[in-house]
Amino acid sequence: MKNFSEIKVGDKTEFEVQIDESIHKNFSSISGDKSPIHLDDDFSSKTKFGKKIGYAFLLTSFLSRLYGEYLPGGSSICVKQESNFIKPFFIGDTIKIKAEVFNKIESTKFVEIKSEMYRNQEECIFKGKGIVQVLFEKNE
Amino acid sequence: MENLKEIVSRVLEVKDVENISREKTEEWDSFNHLMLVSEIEKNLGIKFTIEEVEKIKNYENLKNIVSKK
Repeated sequence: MKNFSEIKVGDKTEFEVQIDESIHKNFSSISGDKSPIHLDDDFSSKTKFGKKIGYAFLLTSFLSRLYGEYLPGGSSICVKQESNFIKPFFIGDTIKIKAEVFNKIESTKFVEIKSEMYRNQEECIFKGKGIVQVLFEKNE
Repeated sequence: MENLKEIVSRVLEVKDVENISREKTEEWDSFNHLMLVSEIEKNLGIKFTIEEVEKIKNYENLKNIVSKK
């Protein structure tokens, strides 16, 4: 777990998540979103996407993992998040989440982090900026 | 570049900033207080101490603290 002073502008991380049926169905259950564009093969085959699309807000759930586990990790809370869902993703895709610290504000212990997500190593599907507040100081 | 008044107006979503205070202005809650401080630091290129952040009670006194930077 890093405290505020140990976090540096330019700190980076990345990790991958495989989108399988289980994750897709679990998110449907948690969110309560039963839209046919996500769950009905016949319906979604007639849309411009041609098949069921993944849940946009499933992507933001990976930001929870990002902030809580990797960057900065540990005792931080997200206080603001901007999210741009650029392109769809699908069951079976591998999503790579990349993030970097681009600003720190000492007086409020805010850390600003930009994030991008790519499907199958190539296509950028998400861009976001978030602010997390680091609560933990080792000398407190 | 935004000036102080414009930043306060944008972050707190109030039009008339001259007479606002943390006590009287509903929009100026503890969360927006931190957002306001961070936006002022970023946009005006100044830094507050933790003591100054706690001292800010209204627009007038915020303006005084900023003017001394």
